Amino acid sequence: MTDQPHRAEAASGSAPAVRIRNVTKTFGAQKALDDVSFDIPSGTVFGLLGPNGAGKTTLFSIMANFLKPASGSVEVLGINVNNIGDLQGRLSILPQDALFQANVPVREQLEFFALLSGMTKQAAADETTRVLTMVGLLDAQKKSARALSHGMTKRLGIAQAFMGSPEVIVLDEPTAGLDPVNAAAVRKLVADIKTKARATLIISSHNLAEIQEMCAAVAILNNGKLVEYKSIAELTQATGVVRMTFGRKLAELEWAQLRGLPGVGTVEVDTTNEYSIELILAAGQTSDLLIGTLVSSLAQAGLVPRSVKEGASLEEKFLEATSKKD
Amino acid sequence: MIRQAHLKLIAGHSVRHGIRGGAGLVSLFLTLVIGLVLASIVISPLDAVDQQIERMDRSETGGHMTEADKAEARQRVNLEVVRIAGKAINWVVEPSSEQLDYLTSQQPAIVSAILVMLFLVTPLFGCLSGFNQTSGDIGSKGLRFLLIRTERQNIFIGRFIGTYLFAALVNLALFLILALYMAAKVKVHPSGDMVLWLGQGYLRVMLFTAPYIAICAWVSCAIDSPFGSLVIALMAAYMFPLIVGRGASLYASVGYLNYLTPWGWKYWLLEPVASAHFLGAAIAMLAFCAGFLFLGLRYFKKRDL
Repeated sequence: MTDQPHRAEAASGSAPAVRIRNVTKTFGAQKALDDVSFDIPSGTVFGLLGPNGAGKTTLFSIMANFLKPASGSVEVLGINVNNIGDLQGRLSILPQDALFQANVPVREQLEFFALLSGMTKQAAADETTRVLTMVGLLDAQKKSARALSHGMTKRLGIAQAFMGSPEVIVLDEPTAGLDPVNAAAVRKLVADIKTKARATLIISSHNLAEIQEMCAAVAILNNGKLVEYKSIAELTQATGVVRMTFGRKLAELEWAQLRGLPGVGTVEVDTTNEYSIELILAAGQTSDLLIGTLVSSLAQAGLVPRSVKEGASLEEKFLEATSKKD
Repeated sequence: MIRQAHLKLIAGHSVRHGIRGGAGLVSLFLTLVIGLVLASIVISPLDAVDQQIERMDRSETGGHMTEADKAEARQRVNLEVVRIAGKAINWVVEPSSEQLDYLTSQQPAIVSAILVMLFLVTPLFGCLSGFNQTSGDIGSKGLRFLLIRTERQNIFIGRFIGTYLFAALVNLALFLILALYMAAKVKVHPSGDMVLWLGQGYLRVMLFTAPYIAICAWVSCAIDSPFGSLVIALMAAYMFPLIVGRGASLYASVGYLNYLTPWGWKYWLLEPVASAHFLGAAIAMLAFCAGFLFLGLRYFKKRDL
């Protein structure tokens, strides 16, 4: 893994938005992060994955200078996070479990944050209106945070993270606890920010399909260690596997036909869906070359797949990466 | 880096929402109740005297006691009250003869007696105002919304200033009530003299409050529970003087240990402003305040939040 951060920097051709070097963090005897190093390329949507307790929130907290690492360093936009004041307005975060002041009206809290970020009173008021509208909370602006539901509180957290023009936005489980409509709205916000603001977004989520949809690259942590660091494309496509789903269960003869297709090594049924199969390509074959041939051969044999997908899902790769022993 | 604009914003926010948090409301309520009860202990004998004179007037002269006779009777009793107040001050403060003369003759003795009482509970009032400067927001992680927008020292010092201003407002409410009541009801001393001495007393109380709010700033940033912070701050404020007081009853020289805390210097603040004692106490209060803030800030900058 040691060459990966440098490879990412070389690939992007620019300084990384976040540079994490040899970060270790302990809580008593427990090592929450163990010598973690990687870069997050500038201008990308980056996913940080890991099972519960893997160290994702701890790493985010170190990035935002909430927690101090036992060793190692984190730079955001080239500035060591110990000097967090120098990043004023350039870094924002949606902390996972942070509570707003219970008795203070929503608008007042956001305006206070905006003023602290260096805005004038008028700009703070305008920006507050903009982000409250963006997350659909303008009608609740006079309510105290105590009066908000869980979903509304989460949206308020997202609103404060999107205030101003931050260059790096860290979202710790932004859709956790949201209903599908609000979760989709958050994903749309992320997509908008990606296209309009060219900010770097760093997201953690247990919803792997969501990460696969939003992110360009991911790092996977397990037991405080970095176990995977790849682009989504690398992680899910270069596996020598083609997954096909049919409209019905295949007959024995059809199985035989599939096994006989050129370039196919073995054929396995998906244990979770009997209409789906996995074609494991023969050694030396690449899916790019074979997919066209496979589909046309299947059509000639009277088998028309409803979907064809290269590679494994992120979930499979995640489970594979996190089940490895140290 | 300390940013003046951030200090102003954070302090202002802290003052505005001092009462809304609930803890501020409790602080205001207890300060007023305790302060007024203590003041009434001093003032109520005068009320009783007034009523007694009225009764004497009705029973002995059938309500025909002249105003001059009433004033003379009041004056006699008042002198007695002043003498008793002086004794009480003498017992609590153990003042020099100059200080006793200053508190009972040069200044309205009744107000001095009230100030002496209030000085005993000033650390309590300070702790009630200051115990939740950061602890609650550390516990709820709400401080994290500020941590990415400003440096930790701005949060720590801004909250301290806001809390101190809030305490100043709470004490101001207490002193205003006292001033109005005494000006209207207490006739022992001229009203102007009493209000003026109360005003000076207010400033002296606020000087004595500063190190206790600084202790709270330190304790509050070290403990995530507001209640725990209150308990430890109160123990820091009162346990040491109690232990030293017990020790001093056995070995008088142990009493000097009180000068290691603001408590030991407090009654020097009830001396003439130009005196060396007052100046020494004022400097000590500021030094304690700065020292506690330094220790608190050093911890707050290093700790996980």
